[in-house]
Amino acid sequence: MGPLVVLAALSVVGGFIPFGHYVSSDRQVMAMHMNMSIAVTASVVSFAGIMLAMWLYRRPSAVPAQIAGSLGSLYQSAKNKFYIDEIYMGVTKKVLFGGIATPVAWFDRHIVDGTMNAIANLTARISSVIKGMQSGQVQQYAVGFVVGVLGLVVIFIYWLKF
Amino acid sequence: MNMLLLLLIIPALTVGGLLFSNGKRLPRMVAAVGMSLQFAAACYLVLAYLQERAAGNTAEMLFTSSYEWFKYLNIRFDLGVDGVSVSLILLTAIVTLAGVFISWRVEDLAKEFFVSLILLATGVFGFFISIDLFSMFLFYELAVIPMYLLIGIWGSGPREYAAMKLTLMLMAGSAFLLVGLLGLYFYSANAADQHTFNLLEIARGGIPIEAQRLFFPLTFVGFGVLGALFPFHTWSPDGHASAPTAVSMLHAGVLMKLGGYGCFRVAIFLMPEAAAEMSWFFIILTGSCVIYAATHAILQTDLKYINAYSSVSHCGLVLFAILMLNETALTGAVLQMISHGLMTALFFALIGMLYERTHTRIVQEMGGLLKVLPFISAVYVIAGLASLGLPGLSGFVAELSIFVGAFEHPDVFHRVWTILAVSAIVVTAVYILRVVGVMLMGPIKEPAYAALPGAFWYEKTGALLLILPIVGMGLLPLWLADMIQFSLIPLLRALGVG
Amino acid sequence: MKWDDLLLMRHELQLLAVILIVTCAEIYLSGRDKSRIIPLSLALFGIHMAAGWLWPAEGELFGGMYRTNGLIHLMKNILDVGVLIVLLQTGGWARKQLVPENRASEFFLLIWSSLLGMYYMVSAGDLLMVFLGLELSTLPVAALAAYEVLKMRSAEAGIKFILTAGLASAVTLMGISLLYGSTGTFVLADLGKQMQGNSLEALGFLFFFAGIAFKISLVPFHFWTPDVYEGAPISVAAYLSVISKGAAVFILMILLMGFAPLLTDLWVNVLYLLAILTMTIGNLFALRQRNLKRLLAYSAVAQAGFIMLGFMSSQQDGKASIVYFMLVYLFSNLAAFGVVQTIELHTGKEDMSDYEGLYRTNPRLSLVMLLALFSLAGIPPLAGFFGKFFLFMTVASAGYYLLLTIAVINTVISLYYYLLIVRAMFLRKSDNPLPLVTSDGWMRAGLVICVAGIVVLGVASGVYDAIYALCAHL
Repeated sequence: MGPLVVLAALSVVGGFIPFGHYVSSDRQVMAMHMNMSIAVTASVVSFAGIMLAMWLYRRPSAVPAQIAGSLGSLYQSAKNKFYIDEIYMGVTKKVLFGGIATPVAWFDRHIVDGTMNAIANLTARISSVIKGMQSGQVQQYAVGFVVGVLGLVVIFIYWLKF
Repeated sequence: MNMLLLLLIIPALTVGGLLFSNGKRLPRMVAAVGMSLQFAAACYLVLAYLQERAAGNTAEMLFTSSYEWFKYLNIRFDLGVDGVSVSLILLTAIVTLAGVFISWRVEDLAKEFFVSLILLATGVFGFFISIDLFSMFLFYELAVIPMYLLIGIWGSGPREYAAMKLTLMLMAGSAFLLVGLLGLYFYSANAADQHTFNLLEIARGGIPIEAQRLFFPLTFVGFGVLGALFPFHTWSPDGHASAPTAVSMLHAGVLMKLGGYGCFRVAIFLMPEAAAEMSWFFIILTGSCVIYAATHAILQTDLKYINAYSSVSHCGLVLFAILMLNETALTGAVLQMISHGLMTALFFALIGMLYERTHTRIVQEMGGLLKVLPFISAVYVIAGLASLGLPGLSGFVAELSIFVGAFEHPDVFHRVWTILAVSAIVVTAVYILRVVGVMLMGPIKEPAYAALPGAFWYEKTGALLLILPIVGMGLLPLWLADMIQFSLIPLLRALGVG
Repeated sequence: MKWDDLLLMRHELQLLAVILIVTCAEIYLSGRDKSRIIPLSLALFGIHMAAGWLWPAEGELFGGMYRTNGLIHLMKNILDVGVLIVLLQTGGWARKQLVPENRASEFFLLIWSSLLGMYYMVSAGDLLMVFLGLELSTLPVAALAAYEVLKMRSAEAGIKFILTAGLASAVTLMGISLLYGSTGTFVLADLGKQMQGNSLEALGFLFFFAGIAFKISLVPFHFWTPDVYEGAPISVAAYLSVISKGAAVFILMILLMGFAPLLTDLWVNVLYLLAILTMTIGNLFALRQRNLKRLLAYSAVAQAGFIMLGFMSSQQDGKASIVYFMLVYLFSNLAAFGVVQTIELHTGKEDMSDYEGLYRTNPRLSLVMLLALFSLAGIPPLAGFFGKFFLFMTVASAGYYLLLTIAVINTVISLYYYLLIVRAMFLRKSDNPLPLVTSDGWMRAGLVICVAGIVVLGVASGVYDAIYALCAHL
C-alpha cells in the first residue's frame, strides 16, 4: 500500500515538475502541444465514470447486478477487459511468434549463419578435393615441377606476350 | 608523461603482477586492485578532461602526444582523447572492474583467466586512446584474440565451435579493415606531403572521392563485423552463449563498441562524402538488423541467447544512428553505446549469477525467483526496463535522441526506416517483459529454489557498479551529452552539417 | 688485390676456419671425448656469429665475381643467427642420438658447408657464382635429410630431395645458358644493360627462376616440401624452412632488385601469380594436416607466398619488408620447430591429438608454442604482426589491392590451423596428457632467443629502421 501511495502522489504532481530538459540529450524539452478539447473530454468522461462507480458500489446493493444483467454482452466484454489480453496474446503468439519470429529465426540460422558456415565448409571441401595433388610419388613431383615451369612459360610468353 | 599512457601502464603492470601470483585467491586480488586503480585513473581522466574543457581548451583532441615509432614509414603512436573516447574509456573501466568482481569464483586456471581478461581490456583501452590508424588496428586485434582462449577454455556448451567461429569471423572483419586502412594511408597526405596514419592529419588533408568509394565500405564493414552488422553478426549469439560471464560482459559491453566507435571515428569521419553517398545501403542493413535481431530474441528460451540477440539489435541501432549523419542521432549513438554497454554487461552478470544458483539458463525452467533472490531479481527488472527504454533510465535518453535525430531527415526513405526501427522497441518490450513475467513472478517452480543463497558481496559490488551509472545517466544525461556534442563538431563540419 | 681485400670475405673465411677446426677435433679426439665436439662446435659458431656483426664492409673481389655490402653482410648475419638457433636446438638430439653412433661432427660440418654455399650465393656477382653457391648449399642438405639412415622415412626424404633438387638445378642451368646465349654475359651488373626484353630472355629468366622457386617452396615447385620435412630430422626441416628458404629469398631479391631492372614487368607479374597460388594452396593443404611436421611444412609454403608480397615494389620499403619479415619468420618458425622437436625427442609424439592438454603438464613449452603460432599468424603485438603488416604495406604502396585482399583472406585461413594447435594445447583436456618434458639447456637457450626475438623485434622499431636504412643501396 505504501509504495502505491507514493506512486499515486508522484503521478499527480510529476507532470508539473519542470525537469524535461534534464532528461533529453540536447536540453530541448520534447514539445507537446495540448489539444484542449480532447483533454477536457477525456478528463470529464473519466471523472464521471469514477463518480458513477463510487455511487454504485459504495454500499452493497442489487443495482449493479441489475444493470449488468440488462447490459448483457456489453457487460461481459467489459468484464473481460474487452478481450484486450486475449487479443494481445493472440497477436504476440500467433503473429509475432509464429508469423514473424519463427521465419526470421529460421532465416538467421539456416540462411545467414548457414552461409557463413558454408564458406568455412567450402574451404575445407576444396582442401580435400585438391589433396590428390600430393601423392607422395617423386615422379609426379617432377612432372608437377616441369608442368609448372612450362605453364609459366605459356602464360607469360605466349599468352601475355612478354 | 602523458596521462593517457597510465591507462596502458596500469593494465600492463597488473598483467605482470598476475604472472607472479599463484594459487586461487591471489590472482583475483591482484586483478581487483589493478582494475580499481584503472577505474580511478579513468575517473581522474574524466575530471581532468572536463576541467580542461571548462578552462576553454577547444582543441579537437586533448592530452595529445605523438611518439615516433617506425620513422621511415611515418608510423607514429599518437595519443589523444575527446569527449566520446573519454566516456567510452570510463565505460570500459567500469565494466572491466565489474567483470573482475563477477569472476570472483573462477578457480580453474585463475591466473590465466585474469591475464587474458585484462589483456582484452588493455586492447580496448589502447584502441580508445589511439588517434592513429596503425595503433588502433594493433589494439583492435589485441583485444579480439584473447577471446579465443577465454571462450575456449572457460566457456560452456559448444565452446570450441563458438570460440573458433567468433575469432575467425572477427579476424576476417579485421582483414578487410586492414585493406581499408592501408588504402587510407596511401591516399593520405599530411602537411609535409608524407603519407600518414594520424586521424586528424588524414581528415585535414582529405581523401579523394574515388578512393573513398572503395575504402568506405571496406572500413565500415570491417569495423561493422565487430559491431554485429547484419549479415555478419552470427558470431555473436554463439559466442556470447558459450562465453563465461565476465567475458560476455566485456565482449557485449565493451568490445562490440569498438565496432561502432571505429565506424564513427574512422569510416565516417575520414570519408564523409562516401558515407553520405552510401549510407542508404547500410541503413537498410542496420535498420533491418535492429528489428530482425529483436524478433529473433523473442523466440529464444535461453537467457544468454535472448540477451545476445538483444545486443545485436541494440548495436545495430548504434550503427543505424551513426549513419543518420546528424548531430542528434550521433549523440544518441554514443549515448546508446554507453547505455547498452552498461545494461548488457549488467544483464550478463545477472544471468551468470542466476545460472550459478539454478544451473539452468532456460527461462521456462525458472519461476518465482523474485521471492527467493530479491536483489538479483530487482536488478534484473531495472536492467530490463532500461533496455526497453523506460524514461529515467539510460536507454530512454539514448533511443529518444536516435529516433528524433533520424526523423529529422525529411525524406521518405529515412522516415520509413526510422519507423521500422522504432517498432523494435515494442518487440524489445515483449521479450523483456515475458522473461520478467515467467522467470521472476509467479509461484516458485522448484522447491529446491527456496534455499538458494542471495547475492554475495562481490556480486552486489559488480551489479551496483553497473546500475548506478545506468540510473545516473537516465536522470542526468546532460553533462555527458554536452561532452559528446562538443566532440562531434569536427565530424559534423566534415559532413557539412555543423 | 691486396691481402686486406680478403677481409671482405670474412664471413666465408671464418666459417671455413670453424669447419677446419672441428674437422681436426673430430680426427684427433678419441672416442670418449667425442661428446665434447658439440659444445666446441656451438661455441665456435657462436663466436663466428658474434664476430660477423662487426665491421661491415663494401667492395668487390675477383673481378666482380664476389661482392659484398652492408645489406649482404646483414643477410649473412641473419642466416648465422638462424643457424645458431638450429644448432642449439640440435644439441640435445645430437648428444642423445648421434654421439653414440659417432656421427655428431659430420652433422655440423654438413650444415656449415651448406651455409658456406649460401654465403657465396648471396655474395655472387655473376650467374655462375650463383649456381655454384646454389649447388653447394643444396647437396649437403640431401645428406642431412637422410641423416637418420636407419629410418625409412628419412632415407626417403633424402632421395626425394636429391632427385627433385637435381631436376631444379638442371632447369636453372638451362635458364642460365639461355640468358647467356641471349645477352652474352654472366656478370649480373651487365646483364640488365644487355637485355632487350625479347622472349628468349623471358624464357631464360623463367627457367632460372624455377630453380630458386624450388628452394623457396613456391607452388608449383613445392611438392617435395612436406615429404622431406616429415621424413628428415626436425633440425634439418627447421634448417630447410628458414635458412635455406631465407638464402633463396635473399638471392632472388638481390637479382631482381639489386641490379639494373631485369624484366621488371615480367617478374612482378610472375610473382603476383605465384604469391596467390602459394599462399592459397599452402593454406588449403595445411588445413587438413594433423601431423605437426607436415602442418608446419605447409605453413612454411604459405609463408613463402606471403614473402613474395614484398617483391611487388622494388622500392626501399619493399626490400626492407622482405628482409625484416625473414628475420621475424626465422624466430617464429624456429620456436615452433623447437617445441615440436623437444616433444618428439622425449616422447616420440608429433600428432596434434598428442598435444591435447599440453598446457596443464607443460605450461612453458605451450606458451612458447602459443607465441610462435600467434607470431606466424600475425597477431599483435608480436613480431609477426609487424612483419606481415609491412609486407601488406608494400603491396598497397604498389596499388595491388586485389592481391592485398586475397592475402589478408589467407591470413584468416592460416589463423584457423594455427588455432587448431592452440586448441589442442589449451582448450582440450586429455585423460593421459604428455608427461612433463624437461628440455636440455641448449634447447632452452635456443627457445629463449626465439621468444625474445618474437616479443622484442616488432615493438622495438630500431631493428626495422636499421634494416630500412641498409636497404637504401643493394
